[in-house]
Amino acid sequence: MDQDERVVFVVDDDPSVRKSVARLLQVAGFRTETFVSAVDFLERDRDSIGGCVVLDMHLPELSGLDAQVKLAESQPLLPIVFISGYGDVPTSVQAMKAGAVDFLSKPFSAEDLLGAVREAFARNARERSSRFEMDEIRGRLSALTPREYDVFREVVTGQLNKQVAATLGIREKTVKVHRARVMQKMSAASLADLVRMAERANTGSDALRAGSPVSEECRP
Amino acid sequence: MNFGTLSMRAEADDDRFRYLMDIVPQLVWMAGPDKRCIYFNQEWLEFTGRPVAKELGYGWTDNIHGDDVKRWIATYEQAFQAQQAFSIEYRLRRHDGAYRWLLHTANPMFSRAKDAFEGYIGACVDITDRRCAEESLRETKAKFRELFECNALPIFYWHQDGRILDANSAYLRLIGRERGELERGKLRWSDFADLGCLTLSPEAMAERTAGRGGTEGLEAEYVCPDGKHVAMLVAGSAAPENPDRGVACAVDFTVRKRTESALRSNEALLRAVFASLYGNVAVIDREGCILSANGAWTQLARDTTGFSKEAYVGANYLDVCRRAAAAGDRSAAAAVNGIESVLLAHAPGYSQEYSCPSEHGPWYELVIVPLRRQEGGALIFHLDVTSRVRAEGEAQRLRNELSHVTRVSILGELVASLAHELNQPLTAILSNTQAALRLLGKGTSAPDELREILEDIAMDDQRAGEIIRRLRQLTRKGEFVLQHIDVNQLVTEVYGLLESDSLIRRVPMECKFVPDLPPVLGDRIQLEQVLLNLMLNGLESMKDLPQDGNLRLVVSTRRAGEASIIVAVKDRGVGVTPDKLGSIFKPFFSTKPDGMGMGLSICRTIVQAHNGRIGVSNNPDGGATFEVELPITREVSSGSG
Repeated sequence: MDQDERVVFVVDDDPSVRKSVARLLQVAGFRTETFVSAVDFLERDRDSIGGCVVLDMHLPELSGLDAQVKLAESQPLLPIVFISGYGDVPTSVQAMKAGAVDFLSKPFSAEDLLGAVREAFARNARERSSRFEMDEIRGRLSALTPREYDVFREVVTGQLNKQVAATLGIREKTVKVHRARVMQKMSAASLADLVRMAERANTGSDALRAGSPVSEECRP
Repeated sequence: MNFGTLSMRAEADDDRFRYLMDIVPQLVWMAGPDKRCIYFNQEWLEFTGRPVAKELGYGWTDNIHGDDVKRWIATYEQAFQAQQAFSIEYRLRRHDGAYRWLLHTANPMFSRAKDAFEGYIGACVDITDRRCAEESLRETKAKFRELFECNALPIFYWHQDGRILDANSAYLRLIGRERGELERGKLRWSDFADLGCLTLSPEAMAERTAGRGGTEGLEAEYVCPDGKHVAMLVAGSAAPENPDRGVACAVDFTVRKRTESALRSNEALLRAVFASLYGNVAVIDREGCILSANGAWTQLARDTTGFSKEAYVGANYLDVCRRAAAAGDRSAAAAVNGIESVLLAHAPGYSQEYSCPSEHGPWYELVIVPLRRQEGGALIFHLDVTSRVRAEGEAQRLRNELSHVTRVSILGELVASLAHELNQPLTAILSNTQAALRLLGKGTSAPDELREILEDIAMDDQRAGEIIRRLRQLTRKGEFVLQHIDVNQLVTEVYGLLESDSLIRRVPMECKFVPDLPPVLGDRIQLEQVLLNLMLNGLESMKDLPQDGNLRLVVSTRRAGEASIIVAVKDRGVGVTPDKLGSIFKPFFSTKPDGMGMGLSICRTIVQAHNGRIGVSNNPDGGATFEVELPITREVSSGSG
């Protein structure tokens, strides 16, 4: 088991809550680190990838929601489980929209907390593999020539070779050659596989798209 | 006729006549029918000191006083004409040059046959001394008359039969009568006054007036003919020789009588006012003796069972109070101090409230007011203030009720933060419990860890209990209890209550204390309520404002001079619009859509009940500051130096 690497960061200004939640998580087999405030946690310089954070919503200085915004910038893959002594609907909606794994109202059962933490780790794992796949696709896309990228973009929209040729103003035979090269470079087993990769690339972060080696603006 | 003729008649008779004439102690002369004097006796000659030759004939008339000569001659001539006896008084010069008054009597002389007038024989007596006596008597009489007549004191002579024998003008003026009426015998004293004593028997009168020289003054009233009312005081005395008459003087005391009557009615008015004074009133002298008391006081002293029972007129009120104080009556002890300070002019007045005889009996206000007079003393009022005291109690009860209601309504605003606060220990307890259960489920024996968990659970349970206790205290429906309160501690407690609220609203709070402030006297719950209200309002005012470094609620304490402490609650909200500054403390004023508008009004009521004041002002850099000024507990501040 790789549970030893799974660290739960508990951030709560209330010492009793901090201590008891950490204790419960430890008994359930998690490693924990506790923090009095979000500021303290953000100042921690170690990489938190692979962990998750149980974050109190009502913290002095930097509130839970503000910390969530800052964490999204610095550690986008770190899943957040919010705990709140006063769960008002607008706050919980805002937190969930911003990608929180769960929003637990105090007092919560061990099942709810552990469930949320496990879900957080699962999501973390998914995010991490998804992130890996995206990195792969990104690398393959960067290997395409500008013309191959043009053909790739048209093909994944479901156009036939003839239509692609008309759109790009090249011959159909040339399209076929480029297409075969794209399939090979992208390691795509089928057109469906290629479309899935294109979707992954499109749902990825803006940085991924911006980082794309080819854009229409760059076309000669 | 001459001596020759006489000697011819009888030598012997002549000699006897001569001897006789010379021993007569009068001045004797004789004149013949021709009016010429022919004889002067030795006494005469010695009186004038002139030789007989010079006197004979008309010679002696040289010595008559110039003013009397004419009268003498006329009388003399007339006498000789009539040949009748005459007498005249005139002045004749004596040998020493002094003129002496003489009473001159003379008889005509006739022959034995009574047929021939033979002249006059006369004798003169020196009446100067008598005349002087008469003159002086006249003068005395005139003076006496003057004294009588011009005396401003009305005087009259009375006779026992009722007549007024004489009266001076002052008396006539007094009774408004004319002198003519008096002279006609028309005035009777019995008509003007019932002066019975004047008709007493001489013996009784003498007895009555013995040693005093007169009767005592008798009051008499009389209506003059012109309708004027006269009041007089008459005193009479009988003449020692004639006890049936005497003198009496009357004093006009109409004005005095009027004044006296005015004084009497004034005094009666004062008595009536005193008797009608509201409350129970008594006058004490500077020793504390009760000089006078109104009816209500007397009634109270009779009916009460308290120490005032002995407070009748004549008793020493201070002693009454002292005895009650010695018996343990604390309000009586305070009264003694108060009365003494007023009697010694150490205090301009004194008042205290006390209940008598039991705590629930009637309430009185004891008021001591100094008497503004030379002899000192004071007025004591016992005013029944039961209804006022009861009304005050009722007002206090309603105020407590209202503040309780508003306190409970504040609780509504605190629900979120209270839930938050209460959920912390509950969360810890639940987490700890489940951790322990899991430990037990694993079957691993870890008694130390389990013990620690259970201890944590107990601690958090106590913490939750404490929150509930604070909550119940806030909503407690209690009496107004005064105690010494450390304002900094008070603020800290309210701060603790609102910490969660501050977190939820995302508005930080800050306390700035001046340390070691003297305590104030107040009701803890109600003062907490004031702070809670002001701080909640402050947090509320900043709820929707963008978060920046300046957004915070600052609660500070400081001294305001020697006598008071100020707690200031400063927010950085929108402030109070100028048109609302005046009405913000009025009831039913609210800027919140769902506000009852009682919060600040109750705050003001509470602060005023603590003899303090509450105010609001806008900050120059935004937001508003509410200031509560509370008086420092005096005994403690002076005691602690």
